[in-house]
This record gives sequence, C-alpha cells and structure tokens, in this order.
Amino acid sequence: MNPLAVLVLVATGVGCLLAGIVSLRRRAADRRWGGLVAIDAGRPITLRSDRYHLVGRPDALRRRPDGALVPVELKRRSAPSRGPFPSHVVQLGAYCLLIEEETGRAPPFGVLRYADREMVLPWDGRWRAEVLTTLRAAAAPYDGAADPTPAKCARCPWSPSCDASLAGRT
Amino acid sequence: MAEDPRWTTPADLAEYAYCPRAHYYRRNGTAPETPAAAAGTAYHRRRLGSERWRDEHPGLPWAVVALGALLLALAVLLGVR
Repeated sequence: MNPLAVLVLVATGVGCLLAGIVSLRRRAADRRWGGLVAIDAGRPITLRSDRYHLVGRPDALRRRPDGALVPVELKRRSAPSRGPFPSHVVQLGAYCLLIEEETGRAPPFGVLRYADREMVLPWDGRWRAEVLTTLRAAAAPYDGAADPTPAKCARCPWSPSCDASLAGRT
Repeated sequence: MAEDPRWTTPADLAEYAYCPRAHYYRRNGTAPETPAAAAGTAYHRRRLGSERWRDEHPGLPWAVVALGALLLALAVLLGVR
C-alpha cells in the first residue's frame, strides 16, 4: 500500500474524529439547559403579554426535564468581569416575564450566553420588580434623561448626532 | 418587532437601561446601520443557525466519529500489510 494513501487515511480519520467530538461537546453544551423548543433562526417563537404590552422573540427557548421553560439570550461580546450589564439583565428578565405571562409558570432562571461563557440568573421577585420598573419608565413620556459614558457612547449608533454624547472623551 | 409604539420589546427595555436618550432616538427614528450592528446580526444568525442545525441532526456527530474510527482502522490494516 502506498504510504501516502495511508497517511491521507490517517489524517482524514483523525479529522473526522475531532470534528465529531467537537460537535458532540457543543451539542451537550446546548442541551445543558434542556431540549430546544424555539430558536430565532428558522424556528422562532413570539411571546406576548397583553397586560404589560410586551412582545418579544427570545434567541432560544429551552424546556427542562421538569417542564419549565428557560430563555437563553446570546451576546457577541465576552462576559463582563464585573457581572452582566444592566441592559442585558433587563432584556433577559423581560423574556422571563413573558414566559411567566404566557405559560402561567415562572422560569427558574434565564441564561446569558456570552462569547466565552454563560451566566445563569435566577428569576426572582426582585428581578421581576426591576423589569416592571424599567418597563414603566420606558413607557412614560421622555423627560430628557441620558446616561452617557465615554465607553457607552463609543458603542452607541446615535452618538454622532447626540448632544449628550461623550464619545471620544476619556 | 413592536411597530405599534404602545408595545415594548425586551430589546427596547435593554436600550432604555443602556441609555434613555438612545431609547428615545430609537422610538422616534430609524436606527443608523453601523458595522457593529451588522456584525452582531451576522453573529446571531451564525451561532443560532448552527445551534439549530445541531439540534436537528443529533446522530450526525456520532456518524462522523464512526467514520473517523473506520478510516483509522482501515489505515492500520493497510499499513500493516
């Protein structure tokens, strides 16, 4: 047998083994929070609360073995070292609230999936109150408030036309 | 998603928590398309698409592992001869 052909067989075999193992590990990580119910890539679900006038489509919705639904929110950036950003927390909390409203059953927690790791946030009364407070504030007439910081403004698409922008300042 | 201004989305709330001014701008205009926003959309599409694919083809990774093992076994057999 040609040694080169054997080498090609070995390389292809090792490649297949590695690709399969990586895929299995990713799938196990996906299923850590339960079976996939909906995903915002071809199999979306729209959750709605008439009471709160809140509507949204979670990145992924998973069902745990006990039947509880869990929202998973994907974030492109790395996990912040000082804990999740308030904007990420309130967004995930809004999905928890929507699940509660749609199903009558509160999710045990929500998951923020950052590029490098996941953060699990238990859904409780305090977080729920924070979401409702933000919901009321966002629905109220705008009072001119702004919360600029150089870092936030640098990422904000409105920065070039915003009179409160601190982009470019240190 | 919430074209009707009486309805709010979780993304709206996230934007309000980020900065009320940005939320106000979004509610009263069209968001400018930025490279960061486009990259975010592409990232979501790619990651969620592959997650869905893995979910819909649960047996495929095992088949690939089996194929790899088969090829290695064949290489050993042919190499010994």
